[in-house]
Amino acid sequence: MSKPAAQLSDVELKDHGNKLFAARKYDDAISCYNKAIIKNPNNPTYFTNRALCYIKLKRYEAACQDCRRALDMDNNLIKGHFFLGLSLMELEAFDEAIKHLQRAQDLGKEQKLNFGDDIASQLRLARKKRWNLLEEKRIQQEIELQSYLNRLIKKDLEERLEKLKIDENLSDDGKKEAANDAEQQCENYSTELNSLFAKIDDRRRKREVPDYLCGKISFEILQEPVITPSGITYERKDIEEHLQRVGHFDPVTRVPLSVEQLIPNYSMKEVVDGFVQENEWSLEY
Amino acid sequence: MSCPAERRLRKELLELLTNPMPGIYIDEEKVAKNINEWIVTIEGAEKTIYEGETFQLQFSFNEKYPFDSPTVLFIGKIPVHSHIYSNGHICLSILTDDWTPALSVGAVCLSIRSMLSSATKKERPPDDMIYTRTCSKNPKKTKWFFHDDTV
Repeated sequence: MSKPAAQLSDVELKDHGNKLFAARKYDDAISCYNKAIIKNPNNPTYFTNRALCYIKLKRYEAACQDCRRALDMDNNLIKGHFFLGLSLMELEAFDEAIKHLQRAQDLGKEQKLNFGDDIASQLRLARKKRWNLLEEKRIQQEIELQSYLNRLIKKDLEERLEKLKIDENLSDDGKKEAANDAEQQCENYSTELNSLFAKIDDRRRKREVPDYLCGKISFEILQEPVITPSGITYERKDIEEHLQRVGHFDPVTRVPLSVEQLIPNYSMKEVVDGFVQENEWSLEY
Repeated sequence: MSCPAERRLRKELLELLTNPMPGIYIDEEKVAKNINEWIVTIEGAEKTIYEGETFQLQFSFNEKYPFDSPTVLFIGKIPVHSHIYSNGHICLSILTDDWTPALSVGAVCLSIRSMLSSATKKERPPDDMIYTRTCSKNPKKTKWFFHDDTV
């Protein structure tokens, strides 16, 4: 017979909570973690576990709070930073989300733990979302600026025409000519201004990742570039899939190739990271 | 998010539409409906025996593309060529044994176009009759034997 809840230790309560979590009974799992925290408020794992339940229930503020309490106890918790980053991203606090996801990724590397692409892809997603938000703002501002400047040109023309009307030094013909000149000039300004903004728009549409930063198999921007003895750089997961599925040769040069011969191409990685830093629109997740 | 095969096909399509290759035209409408089925029109190159003729290639991709080669055949009017069977099947090593994921739709079209260009005589493969009666519908199921690299 199992012990009544009141007699369970905090560890037993946590284990029970984990089981409920695995069964997707998040509310019940939370209530177990609550009890475990009452028994022992100094174990950060109970808070990060509860945070994950809150994330599953889309209660992101509560998740943030738990992560922060866990991180107060131990600031090197990968899960603390990771879950906090995820929750902040949902709350659209992208700067802070990126900071914590980055920290989670760095800690993962320091501790040589493998989370696959999970943290990295969430980090890319957060950066992309932040960028999208900023880009939207930028476009909005440009549109405002463009219409403001167009209004100024128009207003300036009106003022000039008004002045001409009352100019006593000019004949009627002279006035007409001056008015035509002014209209022509303003129209030119306006056309030039609009074409300038159109160019910015055009540049936006033509954004493209240069081919040399893309894998030769997926044609996507490199994330984990590796180089073969033939000197060709591939995305690691793609070339590994090729070796496993197609054959033991370099896809571009057809020279025999085995997985052990793949070498991380760190300089390419630096180039890609530098490009992405300057061009966050190119992030893929 | 779409699967890697589709993402790659979209990139190839965009590239071919922005930087078209001479004598190679993509049926955009058809591809827009289904990214896994492409119809490509190939023009016989100038100063070759196919000058002035156009042919249509059908590409079919599966979800393992580009690790799996596409299935490629001529449809409609089949060019008379010693490596092209009258049912549209093409005897070209890069479509089966020599496929690599570094190849692309553009590269395949280019190879086929240059295969046409280098022909000097319009004739069917010697085993056309027997092959077209016995082969599978899918040219990738044929055990090709690439006897001749010069054409």
